[in-house]
Amino acid sequence: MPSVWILTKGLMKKEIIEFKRYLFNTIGGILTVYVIFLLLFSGYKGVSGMNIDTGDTLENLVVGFVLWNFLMFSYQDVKNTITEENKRGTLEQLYMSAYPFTLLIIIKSVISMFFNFIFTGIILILTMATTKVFLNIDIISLIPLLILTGLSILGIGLMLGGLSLIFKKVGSYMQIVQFLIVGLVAVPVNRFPILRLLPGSLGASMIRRITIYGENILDFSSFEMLKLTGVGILYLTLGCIIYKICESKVMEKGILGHF
Amino acid sequence: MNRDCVLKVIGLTKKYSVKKQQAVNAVNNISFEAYKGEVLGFLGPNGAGKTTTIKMICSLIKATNGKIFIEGVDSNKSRSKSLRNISAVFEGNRNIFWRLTVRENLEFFASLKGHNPKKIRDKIQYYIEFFDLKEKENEAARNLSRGMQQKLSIATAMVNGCNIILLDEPTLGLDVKASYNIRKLLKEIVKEENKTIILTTHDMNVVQDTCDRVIIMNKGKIVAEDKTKNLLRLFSMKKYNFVVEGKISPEQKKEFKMIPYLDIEEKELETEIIITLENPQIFYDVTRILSKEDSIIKNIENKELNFEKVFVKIIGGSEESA
Repeated sequence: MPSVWILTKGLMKKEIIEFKRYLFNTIGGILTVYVIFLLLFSGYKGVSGMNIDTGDTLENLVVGFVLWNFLMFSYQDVKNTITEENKRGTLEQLYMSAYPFTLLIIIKSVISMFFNFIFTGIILILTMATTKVFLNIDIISLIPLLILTGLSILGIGLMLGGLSLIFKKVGSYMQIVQFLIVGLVAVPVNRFPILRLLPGSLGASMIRRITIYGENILDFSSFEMLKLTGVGILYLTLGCIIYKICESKVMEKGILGHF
Repeated sequence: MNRDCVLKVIGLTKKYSVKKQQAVNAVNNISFEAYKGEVLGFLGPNGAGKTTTIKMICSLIKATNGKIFIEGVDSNKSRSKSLRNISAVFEGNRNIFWRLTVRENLEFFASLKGHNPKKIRDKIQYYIEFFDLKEKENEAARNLSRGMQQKLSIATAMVNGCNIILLDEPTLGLDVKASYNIRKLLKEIVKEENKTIILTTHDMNVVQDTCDRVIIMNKGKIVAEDKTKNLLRLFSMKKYNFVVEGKISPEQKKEFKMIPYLDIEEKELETEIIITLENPQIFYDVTRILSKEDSIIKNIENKELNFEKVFVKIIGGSEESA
């Protein structure tokens, strides 16, 4: 196989070009997310009342919302790449590269995740400025946790991307996953430890401990980090396997380029 | 594998299951070779299996049976390695990234095949000029004309150094001028770069103009395979046109109808009787029928055939013998 670095650079350059060329769209996307947050925040204030002591609930809202966005972007990127390239007709060209497609899509998603860090950072700053809730942003601790949490969501994206190869127009059903991710971010893993096996849940809980309760990565036991890594790798592997099965079915049916 | 053979296909078969226990043979046990520096055309009616064959060579459709060797590499055993030697442009204008410019597309396609775009900068520049895209090199692909998009698609297939280029309907949807330009470019590519081009087309001009060899497919099978000039010669040698003064009688018409592969074209002042000499006896039969009523034969000419007629004839023949 030729150098993976050449492919990575090529994909990164393409991503940067498209990001710059469609900057207006990107800004629009960020603003939309911010407006959704403002609506949520106004609703929250309406329910709780301005004079009630909300404890750490408001912090939870900010972290939950920002995290949901990050994970949603990550999941959607894989699925969207597959469906959009299929719609545009370039999926077959990507399949004809000298690299396995699964590797290509994982590299592309990791690059997109990097951009998601930036967008999420902007959204976080906007939400913190609006709510006057200032979280503990320990970048060194957060980045590895976000990457490991993102791995499991990448796996989910690959599974759904594979299904969309077979079933094509399943976009509307895929929207449901957005709401499932809200659930995954919010599940109480401390009360029900088994829920730590869900994609993104353990990572979300650990990120909350850093941002709300001021812990850092060194406060987590190696076992916790191992579990987080294990869950990430497990879902990524499952995602790759399911994607490969779907890909094989599609190639058997001869419908890879169909949409 | 011969020294010059760059693609070898053995017993390639693709069956699609439509319903339980029912299978459609899209491609049925075909074998062929492609050689360095030639243009090999795949011709056939819709549903003949041309695109399925091309996509199996590209590993985009899984074959039910058979083997494909691309420059000696078994594509079943080493998909990625075999794909390093092959590029494809599929039907339509959806082979390029519409948001990227001409130059950016070429660079991105190079990196997809593992070539560092910086190291092949001269080559990229060469293809921009070769395909006459210099003026548009910084234009987004979606803003190009259909003909230019097709040129760019072929350029992206060339830039990564692959020796085998597969083109699925390269002139489909192009106007006459753009189609002519693409045909001209294909000839130049083969002449100057010694690449192998395998194309599928419905456009007989493309075949006649550019293909050294033709494979005609029908219903998943190869029904003819030969050099383009041989196929043309084969049929033109056997086709004769009798030009007869005035109209022929109903009795003569009745007798002519008994002769296979005979067409009658009645004009105002003359009648043309076109025969295919499957058997020399046909020639005598025609002259006998005409002499019966003293019809005056103005001319007997060897009729020139274009590739379209050859194609229709072969496909017609294959269906009759099936």
